Amino acid sequence: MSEFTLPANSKVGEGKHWAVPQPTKHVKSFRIYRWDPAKNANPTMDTFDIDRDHCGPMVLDALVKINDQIDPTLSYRRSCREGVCGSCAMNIDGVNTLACLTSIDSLKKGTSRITPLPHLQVLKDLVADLTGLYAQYALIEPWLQTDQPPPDRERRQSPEERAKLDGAWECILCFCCSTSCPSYWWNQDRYLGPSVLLQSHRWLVDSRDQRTGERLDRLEDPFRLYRCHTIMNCTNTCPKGLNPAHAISDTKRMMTERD
Amino acid sequence: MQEVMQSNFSVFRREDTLKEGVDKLTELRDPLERVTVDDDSLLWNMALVSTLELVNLADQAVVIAHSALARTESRGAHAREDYHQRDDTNWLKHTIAWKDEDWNVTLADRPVHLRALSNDVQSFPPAERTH
Repeated sequence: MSEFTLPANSKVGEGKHWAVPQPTKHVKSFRIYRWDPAKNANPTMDTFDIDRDHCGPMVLDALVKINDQIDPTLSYRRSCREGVCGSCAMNIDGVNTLACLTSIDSLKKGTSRITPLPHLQVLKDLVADLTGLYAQYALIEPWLQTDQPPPDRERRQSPEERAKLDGAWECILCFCCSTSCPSYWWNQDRYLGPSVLLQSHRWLVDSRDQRTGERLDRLEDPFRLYRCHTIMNCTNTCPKGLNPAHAISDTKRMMTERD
Repeated sequence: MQEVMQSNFSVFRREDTLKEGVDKLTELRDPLERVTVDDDSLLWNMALVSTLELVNLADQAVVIAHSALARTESRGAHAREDYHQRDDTNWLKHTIAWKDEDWNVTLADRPVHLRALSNDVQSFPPAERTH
């Protein structure tokens, strides 16, 4: 009979419950994933009860409150607190999104669950390791490449040429989409994933960039581009309302048209 | 400290509220000296980072407070309601501040460089911004 063993730290136990010190009317509970590599123990789900009368409106406000007043050992990434930096990407009630753009009111009643972005190595608590994603981003060489000498002023674009970049420049690289993609879960070592392919497309359609051919060559591989099976989780989950799946299909179109 | 800096040292300033702010900040010296970190983790220790930031911000807050109180003119984002005009005769200079361990602040000044560093642009005399 075959024996199966779970990978290390995949069994999640029940953790501490931090109740509200005084009885209050408006309580919201969060079950939050906790794991500290230094503790040599399996992860746990800690429950934090938040007094909503003394807490800001967003999920990030609740995390800040937990860190400030309840348990300072909770770790998570955050920076701008207004949806322009992409640091606080995490899984809230099963959806990858930004904690700073998710209002507590919009969550389901009762206890909400917060875990790190799925299918990445966890560094600590809600902090996932993004090294692989950044390496893939570097692979597409996300900068303007051209043989033309730098002009005296800006490289000009027509409004139509500029409009092609709409829906791509707004991407803040929070990686909610890539980590919601089942295809990326399975093949994240070889498939580039929606966020990086959206950025790749941004340079493919830039009228000032002259390396379109080389950029397409780089994607000519069974895995890098073609592991997208139009599952559309990326477009569903994007906290900025972008459409990586469309960028990928347009990249495939460019690939077909040049053959 | 955040509340004091927000309410007493924002853009519009007045001598009495500035003095009140300096007093409130000085009261924070003892609690701030006794800050401890409850997290001994070496990884992603947000409590430690916040504490280090707090210590640096306290230094900044104290020298900003004393410098603002001393500068009896309005200039840029330092708008004194009791000194509406910009005063180039007395205050065309940088404030230099030293904070000691007891949070006493010593002030001095340094002249402003009025000549451009290169010859690409001509130097021009400073003037009040009127637009």
